Amino acid sequence: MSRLSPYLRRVAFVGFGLAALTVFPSAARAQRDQPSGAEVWAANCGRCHRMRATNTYTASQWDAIVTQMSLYARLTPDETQAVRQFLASGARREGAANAPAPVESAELRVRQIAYLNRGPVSGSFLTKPARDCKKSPEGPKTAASIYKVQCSMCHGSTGKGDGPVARMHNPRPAPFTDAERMAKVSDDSLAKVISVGRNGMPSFKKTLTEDEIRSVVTYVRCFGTP
Amino acid sequence: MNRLRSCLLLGAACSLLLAPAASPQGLHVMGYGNVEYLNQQGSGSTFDAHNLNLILLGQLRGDIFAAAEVEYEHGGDEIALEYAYLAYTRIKYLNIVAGKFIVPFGSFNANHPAWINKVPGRPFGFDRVMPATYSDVGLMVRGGVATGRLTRVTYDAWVVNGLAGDPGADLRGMRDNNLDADRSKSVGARLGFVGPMGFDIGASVHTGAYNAEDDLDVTLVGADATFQQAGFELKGEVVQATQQTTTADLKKNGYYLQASYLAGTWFEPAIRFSQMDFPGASNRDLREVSVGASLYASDVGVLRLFYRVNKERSVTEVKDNLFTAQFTVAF
Repeated sequence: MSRLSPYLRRVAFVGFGLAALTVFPSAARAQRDQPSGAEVWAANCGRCHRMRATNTYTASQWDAIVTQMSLYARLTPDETQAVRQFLASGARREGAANAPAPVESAELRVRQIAYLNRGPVSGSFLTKPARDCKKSPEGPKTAASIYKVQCSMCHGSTGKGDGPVARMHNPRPAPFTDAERMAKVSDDSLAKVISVGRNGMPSFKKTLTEDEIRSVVTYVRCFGTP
Repeated sequence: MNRLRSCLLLGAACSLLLAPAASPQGLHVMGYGNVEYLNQQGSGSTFDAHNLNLILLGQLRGDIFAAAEVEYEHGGDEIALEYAYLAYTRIKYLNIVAGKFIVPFGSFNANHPAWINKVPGRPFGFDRVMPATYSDVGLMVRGGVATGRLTRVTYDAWVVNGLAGDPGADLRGMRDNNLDADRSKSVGARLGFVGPMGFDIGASVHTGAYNAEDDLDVTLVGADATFQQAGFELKGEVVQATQQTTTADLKKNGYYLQASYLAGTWFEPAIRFSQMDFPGASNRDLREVSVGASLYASDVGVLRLFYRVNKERSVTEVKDNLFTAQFTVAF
């Protein structure tokens, strides 16, 4: 310590002092506007490496990984906690080989069985309900704000599947603007995917209420509406 | 003063005892590895089982965390402990790390693993000026403080055994001073800012004695910056070492600039330029240009195909360009 030159010591003190003066007032402001775990994950984890699907690891594995990575990335305590909860919510079950079966394949099986029994299906889950997409009020917990905070970093702000971290996922996040594709998926299926997760997409059942999930389903349907 | 120190120690001991044991416990094994096919002008080709690194992570009692990484290099010819530390994460904004850890000087030193490093091999300047991978034994505090939405100021400060070696010797050979040979510690710090829009910048310093017998110091000063946006990444880093000798000081400089673009989800071309200058030692003035691409087989596996052109700036040119096919996985 004694070998540190007085000049260097002065520079270090002044540097850290200035940083403290700059940081702490704005830190208080930042605390009032906490980013979601999904945002922290999207903004930080892809800086150094490819994004891992949330169901790659169990919750206890994510717990240890998040501690290790938050040390490396120097996340704030709130960011660490948010991303820990986010990854745990979509984690693989202890003892399970991988995530629950994709919802769409379950729906495909239903459709195949129905086809074998009755021919081509045109049931309710294939039709898109009429919606009034212009009535989407702004507010802290509206579908638009939920989508912006939880979904847009992967699915994109306009639902094209081109969010800032979309390239980190293979397969890429689904585009909600593909009307043909969206017409083949029921509201229940979309809600279930949001709730339990799929491929790289995490589960939101611990983050969003059932009503909020339903409102997001309605909201993403609007991306395909001219 | 002694009373204050006693109180602090007592407080730290009590907080350790009171740490909740609610966190899931257990040891998790992860890691990464890479195999390479290398074909260098003048020396022919070889396969190389370059790395197999096993990472052990353990969330222990409450907020105490343990991590270690054991590295098997070149098919097991070299086995090393990259890091092994305990971390105490209970104090807000202040994580305490003790043990052997990767010194967080700059960016490349911490982000060197093959499955993260987008261009195979080390840039010039980051093996003999900043002797990456440089891990050391000591104590470190680190953390981040939010300055806005998804932005933060980060800090690291460390006191470690430091580099140790003969006067004027190569810095790379001075690592692994696991039991402090010169009985004189080195200190360092990095102050960084993680901004919106993919900005990440930092400045680092590391200083201390490397030879106590002749009272010689070495000081490293560096700066690093990364910018990422929509699949595009531009990063650069500069480092300067001032090494005292029994005669005049040695100045050693190095820097690199790297650009990459992730096209689609699996194809990422990249280019890196790096340079190293050792004023007064012309055989160390080197330049590199590496060009190639990474092909992502999945989220955990990548094939990198690169050609590296090496240039000697002030001595007779040596034909030692290198083609590398590197397959790396993380698990």
